[in-house]
Amino acid sequence: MIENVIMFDRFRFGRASQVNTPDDVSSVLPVAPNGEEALPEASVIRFFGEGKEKKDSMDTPEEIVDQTPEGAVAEDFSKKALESAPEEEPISPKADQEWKAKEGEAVASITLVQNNMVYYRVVEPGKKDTVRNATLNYFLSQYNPSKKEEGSAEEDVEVASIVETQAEEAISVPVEEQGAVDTEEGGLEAWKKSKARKEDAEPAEAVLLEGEAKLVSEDVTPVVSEESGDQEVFSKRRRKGRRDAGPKEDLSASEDASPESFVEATVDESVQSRGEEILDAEFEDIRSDSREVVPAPLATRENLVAEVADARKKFAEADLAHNKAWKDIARTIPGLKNSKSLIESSDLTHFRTEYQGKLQELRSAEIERLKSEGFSGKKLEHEIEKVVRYFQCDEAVALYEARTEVRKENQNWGGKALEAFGNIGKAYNKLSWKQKLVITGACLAGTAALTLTAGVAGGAVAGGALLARKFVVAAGTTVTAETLMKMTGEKLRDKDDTKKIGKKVEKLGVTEMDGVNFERLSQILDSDIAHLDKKLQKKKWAGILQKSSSLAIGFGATFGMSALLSHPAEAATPTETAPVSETMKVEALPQALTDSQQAVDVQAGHEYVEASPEAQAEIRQTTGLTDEQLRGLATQQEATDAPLSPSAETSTASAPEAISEAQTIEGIRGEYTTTASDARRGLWGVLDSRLPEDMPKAERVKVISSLENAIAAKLHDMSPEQLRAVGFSSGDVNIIHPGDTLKLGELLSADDTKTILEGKIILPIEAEVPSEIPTEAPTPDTSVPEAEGSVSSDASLVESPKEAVTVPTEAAVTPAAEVVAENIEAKPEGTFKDQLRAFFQEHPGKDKLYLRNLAVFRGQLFETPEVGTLSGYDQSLVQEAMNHTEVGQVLSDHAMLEGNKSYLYDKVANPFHVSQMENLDRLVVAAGREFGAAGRPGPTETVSEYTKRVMFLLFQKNIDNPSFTFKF
Amino acid sequence: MSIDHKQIRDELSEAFHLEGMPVKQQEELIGKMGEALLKRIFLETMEKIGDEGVREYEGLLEQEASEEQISDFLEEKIPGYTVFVREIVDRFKEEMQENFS
Repeated sequence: MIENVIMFDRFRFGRASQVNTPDDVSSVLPVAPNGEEALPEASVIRFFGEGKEKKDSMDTPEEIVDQTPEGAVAEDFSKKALESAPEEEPISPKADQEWKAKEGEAVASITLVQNNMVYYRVVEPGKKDTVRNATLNYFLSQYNPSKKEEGSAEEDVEVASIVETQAEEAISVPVEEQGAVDTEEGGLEAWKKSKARKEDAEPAEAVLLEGEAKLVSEDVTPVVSEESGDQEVFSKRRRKGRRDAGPKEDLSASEDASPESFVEATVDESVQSRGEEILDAEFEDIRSDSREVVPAPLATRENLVAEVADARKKFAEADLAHNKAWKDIARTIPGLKNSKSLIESSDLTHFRTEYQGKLQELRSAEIERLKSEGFSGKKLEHEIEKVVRYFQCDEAVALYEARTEVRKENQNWGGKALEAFGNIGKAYNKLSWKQKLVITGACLAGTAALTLTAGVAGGAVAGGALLARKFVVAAGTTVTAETLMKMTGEKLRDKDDTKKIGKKVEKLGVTEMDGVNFERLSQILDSDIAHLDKKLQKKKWAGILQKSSSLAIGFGATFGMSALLSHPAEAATPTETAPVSETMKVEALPQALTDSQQAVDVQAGHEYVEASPEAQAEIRQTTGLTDEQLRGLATQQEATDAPLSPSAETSTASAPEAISEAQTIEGIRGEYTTTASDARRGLWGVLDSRLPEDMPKAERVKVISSLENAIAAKLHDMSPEQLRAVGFSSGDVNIIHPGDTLKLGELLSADDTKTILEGKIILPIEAEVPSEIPTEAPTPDTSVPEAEGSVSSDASLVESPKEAVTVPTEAAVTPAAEVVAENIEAKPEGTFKDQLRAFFQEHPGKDKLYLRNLAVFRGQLFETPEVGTLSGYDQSLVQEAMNHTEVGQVLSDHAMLEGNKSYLYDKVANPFHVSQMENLDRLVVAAGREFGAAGRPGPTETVSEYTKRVMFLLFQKNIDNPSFTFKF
Repeated sequence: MSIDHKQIRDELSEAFHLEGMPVKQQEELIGKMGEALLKRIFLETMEKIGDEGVREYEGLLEQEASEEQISDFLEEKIPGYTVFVREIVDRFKEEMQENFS
């Protein structure tokens, strides 16, 4: 009696499906199973006798002979199969050289069939689309100019040779055997040994059906698909001994840049690529089949756990190979648009399915266990829920670890690095659960989305990544207790504060340490937590704890809220305005944590400048900050001990606010050594970095604009020598060099600074600005068509004529803030529109050109390669983002990201990708250099408004000077 | 100062939605998370410094370098190493929270 059926299909990318009865064959075959012609020619269907374990491996011809009682049939198959693929025959070397990427063609879509095989559609002007197939590395070599090889004749390749490779690559190895096969030993031999071991345990009465064997033997003949009518040439090549095309081998193969095969086939435009067809139409069957998990008979929990672990690892390996392949492709063809065809590889799908199936088996077994323990009804449901929940979480961690493990295995580490890696696990597992709890909590609390309100909270918040860093650093060291004692003792003698360190050492109990210093580390961590907590308590003035507290309130509902914004106050009160992705919610939280880290860093900076060289070294090590960074932090006022400034004392503000303002004023006016980042971002960036991080974005932009304008006014009449004297070594206020020490206090009085911080608006120097150029942020302009690829023929770009702006000619710095404000308010709306209207009336027909240029300009700014490869990113969102996002917001977020890559910003207020922010930032700098104040964004100017205005400036200049070019 | 382990556990459990589980399982999961995270940080550190950096790192280990030397080395190779680590932790949390929720 036939009980189980195993079907192998090489053209289904090595998958092995199971069905239980012969009738089930029809459910897994893509075409009618009754006729031999309908069966996939590369398929082998094997039936096993009753009671025999299902076999899910792909057989070599020899193997089939070995296992098949009907030897004559199998032998016939084997002979023909071997004839079709002589053992030593190389893979069509001639074909490897024949196809080359052509000038003018473009890759329209890619399907990654396997990790080292791609199908792709090529578009060439005036020609039909072409679908090709090649190894990944050959593909990359053709489209990556740096890897491009010398071409040869552009000829179509004999298709059969291509599919041979496909078939070969598609050979899969059963999950449980892949790891056992020693590739050095030789695939066939190793596999046979593995096989023999299995058969010793369970001899099989396998039967190879005659019909299927015959089909396999005839598979060198091309066939025509009944479905599409296209020539679908399938062939296969069986190379003796070749057994494994699993992910690991694929990965190593991908390192080989030499092409192995390729195919070029001309198809109708309406025809989907071969890879897409196969994957869409057939592999879906496979997926659904594989999800039909056959109950595992009598498997012990231990076995199931082991099987899950194995499947998990296989999946992680496939995932790694898959990611690597796509990264290579994305790097080579960053502008690839057709994301629909960028589907995952069959390997990945296969192993994911296997993994999920095993997990399901294990969970089912757990549930069965619960049942057997007598649970029933609601109690059973409750217990099941707990089990499932635990599995979900436990497995998430396990998968994360598996990915780490796989990545580690792909490294070229020597013994020491591997040993250090292993030390982490060993040492960590020696810790008590309490120690693990503290370490994990501290690591997680310190960076994002987690506030601990327990006594340890402050330290954990402040410590964060630092503790993880320490642990990892210690992993590699092999300090013995004796060495450590000696080292610590030497440090003690050199310390300024021996009492302090002595107490620390005593507390650590160093004498009890063994060779691996993780015990010591865990104690240090406890110590540091307490220490940092103490520091943090001193920072209450800045509202850190209040922020942390409000954050904690918000955090409790993080996963259920519709939105949580980055500002702590807002975090406590969810907004109902716009849906925010889960990721955004998570990212939005840790502003206060960043603040707290900053506060601790400032404290460390102050300690640093007063410490001995040895103590400084320890501070460097403890904080992870450089000398320069610490010195810079030391210039920031330490809040706790800061005396009130006279102006602050007279302020009506509350004491903490007055202290904060005084510090801010001095922070702005104090000498400041510029960095490379400042050099790129200019004075704006310098001022931005000097303002409190918690200053609202809109206010921030206004303050920076006014400060910059005030400084520019002072610098306006200065000679280059005078400019250099105040720190602008270039002699140009718009050019800042790294290392410049800016003395802004000589340009800004404390009173001026204070009034600006209180809201005084300072306009830019207007005298230099041509009257036709707008001088400040225009109001939102709805009448200028958004030039996203379309060009309006309507020259009427404005809704109604407005009076021209009366441009002030006085320098901007004036004590009469109210007067300036009045000027702003008195300006009629639609200034920019008036400018446009006047200009285009003077230059009829130029509006179309302007819009066209604007579209191109924005494309250059925002269609970055990075967003082109983001899954789910819709370029149409750019328009919406431009309309509502203020330039100042983008610049501010970008500046924060430059200083802290993990800075989390409000993606609702600023949906731009960092690469787009980068471009906008560069534009602002370049436009500022080119046009002075007129080239800079206004306080509330949106990206849409700003880009229109800058384009207008560029446009005007270009008309005046056709050779004018603008680079940013 | 005393550390309130229970509260840390409770808050981590809340953060990762482990509240319904037995305490022992909560602790077990939190412990596993820490190990997974620390290993990943080490891995990404090595990946970041590259093959040559790993060789240098191993050279330091051969010489039984101190923690301080290792720390300085990593800071030299990865300026702003703490920020680098922080990013890894952030990603870890995101991944866990996505998978746990």
